Formats: sequence, structure tokens, C-alpha cells
Amino acid sequence: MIEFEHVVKEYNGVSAVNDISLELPAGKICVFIGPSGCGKTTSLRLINRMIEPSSGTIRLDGTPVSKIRAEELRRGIGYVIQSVGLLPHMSVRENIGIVPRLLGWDKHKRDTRADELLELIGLSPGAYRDKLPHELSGGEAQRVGVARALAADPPVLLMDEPFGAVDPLGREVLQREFLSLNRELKKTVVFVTHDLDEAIRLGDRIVLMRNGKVVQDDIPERILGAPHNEFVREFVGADRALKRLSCFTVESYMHKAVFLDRALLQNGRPPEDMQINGTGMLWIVDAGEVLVGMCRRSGGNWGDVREVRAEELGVSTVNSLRDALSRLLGRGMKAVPVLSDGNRLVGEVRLTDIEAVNQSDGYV
Amino acid sequence: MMGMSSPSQHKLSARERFRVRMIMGSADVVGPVLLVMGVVTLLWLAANPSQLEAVLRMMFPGRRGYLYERASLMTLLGEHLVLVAVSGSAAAVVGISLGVLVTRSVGRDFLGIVRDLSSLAQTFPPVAVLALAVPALGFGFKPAVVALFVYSILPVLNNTISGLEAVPPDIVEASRGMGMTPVQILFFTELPVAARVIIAGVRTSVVINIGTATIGAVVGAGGLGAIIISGLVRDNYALVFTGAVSAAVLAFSADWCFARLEGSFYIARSDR
Repeated sequence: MIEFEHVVKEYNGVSAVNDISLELPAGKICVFIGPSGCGKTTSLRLINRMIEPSSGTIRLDGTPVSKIRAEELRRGIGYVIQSVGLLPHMSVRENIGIVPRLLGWDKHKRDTRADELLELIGLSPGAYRDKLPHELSGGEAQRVGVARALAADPPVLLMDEPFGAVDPLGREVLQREFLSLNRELKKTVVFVTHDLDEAIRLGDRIVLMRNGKVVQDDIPERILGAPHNEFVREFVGADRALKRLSCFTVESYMHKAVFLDRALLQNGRPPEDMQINGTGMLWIVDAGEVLVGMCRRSGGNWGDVREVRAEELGVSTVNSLRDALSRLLGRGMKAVPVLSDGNRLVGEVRLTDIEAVNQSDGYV
Repeated sequence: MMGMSSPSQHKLSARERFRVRMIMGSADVVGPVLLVMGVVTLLWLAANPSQLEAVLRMMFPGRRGYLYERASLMTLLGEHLVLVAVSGSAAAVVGISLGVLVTRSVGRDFLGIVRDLSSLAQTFPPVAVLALAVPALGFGFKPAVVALFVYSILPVLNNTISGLEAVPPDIVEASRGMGMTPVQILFFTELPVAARVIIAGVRTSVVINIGTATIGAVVGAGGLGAIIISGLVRDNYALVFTGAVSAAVLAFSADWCFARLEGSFYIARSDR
């Protein structure tokens, strides 16, 4: 756990961080966000003593960081910066081994660990361990940067706009990978960004800052759904309703779907007396419950059974309601199928559910 | 070609590719071959004065003396190398240390002054430095070494400062963030990254030094300068030629060696 207690950082009488007090829970991803100059990066760098506060205390698991020798503190905290900062004269493996080397691990242990981490971040050790940083793409370099930060298995990870220099497509991939990585590793992550979508996608918690102060410190859905003031409302933007949908996974809002085994179709049509729900959708599956088709009922009559490509039509359980809405609107349907591994049908999400979510939590 | 494995036939790691390129140059083998031939010839002639005399007699017919009577060419070569090695290594050590010192936060105030002083030292002709050193240190080896030392610092110092200042701030930041101490940042990050530029400074310094060291003979420090000056005084071009060509061969070989060293540095493993 990381605690800020009345922390102030002044530069020549101008405060970059102005009396912030926060508690960042262990094992969660906490995102600092705000316009440039709001003090988010300064706050991050105060944690590993890259800069020292003018007053106030920062505690790491109860111990004031000022009581720990700066170098020792930093070796125990992973640090990832936007420009990555891989040492250009060292191979990928040596770069990953820097902190372990500072901690006195022997070469064999360092190399084993480096291979392990390359595997973890999805780069084949055989192909990458001996590469030099200039031979890596931006995305690969950033992955190696994350691996390097994780090398000595620190409980805390500080990430200063780590994916900011990667193109948007690569950034989404990195975000997704990082999320699933941390779901396993359960590091306490402090993440700085100015990209709200990134904050919503990654954050268990969002700390919105302005002029060195915390404006709102909340879970993402409340930052979007219940902005404290006009500044937050403006910052999250007019499309916050849409963004907010990113906070909810399909899994927690899906319903039972009505489906029919393909073998039970009669002359290519569903039985006339088949009961369905209000969406008017009937999903056709094969013997393995894999989605293969759909059929609409309107005005009491069945339409044609249409074959569908499951992955094009459905959403996965880990997708957000925003993804589901996008499919709904794209297809003009009132429900989309929810699929698990191997395109097995597990339920459906309905337009009415999404509407209900947006009206909840006092959201206007 | 059967049975031979040329470097391009199996897959090379990045580091090997780099190294091969460094050693092969751009398929330029003529230079090194000529250089090796030059060095071998020089040493052989220095070791066989009678042969040297024969060669010089052929090139400069009708002279009275072809060899320097007071010392053999081998001795002079040795003296010259000692002069260069002592003054050059001292200049490298002092230049690099000073460069490191003035780029630290404690020494940064002196950055300007050190740069100015060192440039100023370069504007003094080496003969003037010699003249100033003689009253203090007498004649012989010592004043020559001092003059050469002072003269050789600038290229090293300048390149050390430029090299260290060109280290990207983000990798220093990353190094600090990983928990390196200032000394570790210097040795693991800054010096290896700046090494190439620093070695280039040493290279310039040594090559200039080899030429300038001939002036040491003026104060009786010996070296190849002795034979050149003696030849000039006696209007004997065979002697001038011997001294000048020997110094040139030394300078070329030193340049080549340092060029190789320089090329190998960026990829040098920092893993000790």
C-alpha cells in the first residue's frame, strides 16, 4: 500500500503538488490523470524518490520512503518511463538483468530470469535475448522496458506514460497484455497517463488531478458517471456516457439466451410453438453449443434462419458493454450473443441492459 | 569455397555482424596490408642498419653519411614511443578524469573554465611550452613529456565532455530509476555509451602527439626528432627522410589501432 500524507512539492515557490493525501491499495492499478502540469508525474516520481517532497510523508507499506536509502528503495520498485531508456550498449537480456545485477544475483540466475520474463511478455527468448535495443520496434522495446521493471519481482510498479510513444493500435495491444499480465502478478501499479480511454481501460482507480491537487479520486465508472464538478465533467468529455460503458464487462450484465440445436430445425425453420423472449432473437447452435446461426421472429412469424460467423457477430465475456453496444448498433439487433472459448454460446446482452446501466448510479 | 564457412553463410547475431563489419571495414583490406608491410619494413631496417644504409644510398646518392651516428634507429624509435606513451597515457587519464569531474553536478561550475583553459593550452605552440618547461625541469626527457602531456589533454578532455554530455538523458534517468548509484551510472551507463567518442579523442591526441614529439629533440629528449633535426642542420635529407617516414609509420599504425578500438566499443559487453 502506498500512502500520501499532506505531500507538497514546490519549485521556487510554485507548487507542483499541493497538499495531496491519498491511499493507494495494494495489488490494484491506480491511474493518475489530468492536463499537463497537473502534478501527476511529479507525484509518481515522489514515490521512488526521483524527487524529494518539500513537505509531507509518503509511506510504502507503512514505512516512510525517506527512511529508506534512495537507491535501495528504487531497486525494490519497478519503473517504466515513456522513452523506455534501454541501455543501448547492452543486449535485451543484459538490460532485463540490470536490477538483479545491482542486487548481486549471479549471471546464471539473471539469465534464467530474463528468459522467463521474455516468455512472459510474449517475446521468444531465443530470438530476442541477444538483440540490441536499436533492433527492436517501439512496441517491443516498451515490452522489454516492462520486463526490465519486473525483473527483480518488485511489489510496486511505477509507470510514467509507458505506452504514450507507441502507435494507437500497438498501444491497445500493450494495454490488453499489461492488464492480463497484472491480473496474474497482482502488482501495486501507479500509472500516469493523459489518455482517458487508457485510464478507464486499465484503472481500478482513477485519480484526476489539476494544479497539483486531487480533484476526484474514484473508481472509473463514478469518475464518468458522477463527476464531482464542472472540471471533471469537462475533462471526461461529452461522450462520457459512451466511455463509461467501457467500465463494465459483458459478463456481469449478460442474460440467458434462447437457443436451439440445429438438429431440431423442422424444414429449416424453428418449431412454430417455440417460446422466445422480448428481443425476438433465437440463436442456433450445433451439438457442441457453438453458435452457427440466428433467426428473428417478428409479428409472430419466423424469419429465415441465417448462418453466421460467430466471431463476427458475438462478443466475448471479457469485452465491455461499449463493445457490445457497437455490435448492437452495427447489426441493428436488440441483443448480441455472448461467447466463451471456442465460440460457445453462453448468453446474450440486450440493448435494454445497456440503457439501464446508463441510467443507474444517479447518472443524468 | 567448399568446406570454408564464410561469415555470411551462417546466421550471425547482431553483435557478430557489427564486429565483422568493424574488422572488415568496407572490404578495405588494402590499408591494413600496406600498414603491416610498412611497420615490418621499418622494424627490419631499424634492426639491420647496413640494409638501411643501402636503401638510403640508393634513394639519396652521393651523400657522405646515411646513418645517425649517436644512436641507432631502433633506440630512437624506442625513445619516441616512450615519450608518446608516457605523455599520452597521462593526458588520457587526466583528460578523462577531468572530463568526468566537470560533468558531475559537483564539478559543473568548473565546466566553462576547464574548457577555456584547455583550449588556451592548445593555442600555445608546443615549442613555447617546451621553452617554458626547460627552466623549471632542465633539459632532457622531463620537459618534453610535460609539454606533450599539456598539449595532448585537450582532444581527450573535449571529447570526454562532449561524449558524456551526449548520453541521452532518458537512459540516465532510467538508470537512476533502477537504483544505480551515481558511480554505477557513470560506469554502467555513461562511460560505455560515451566510450566511442572518448576513444576518438584519445586517438586524435596520440596521433598529434607522435608528430609533436619530434620537437622534443630540441631539448634533448631524443626520439625521432633527433635524427630529423640533425639532418636539417647538416643539410642531410637522408636523415630527415628516415626520421619523418618513421614518425609517419608510427602515426598511421597508432591511428589504425585506435580506429579498431573505437569501432569495437559501442558493442563492447559491459558484462564483466
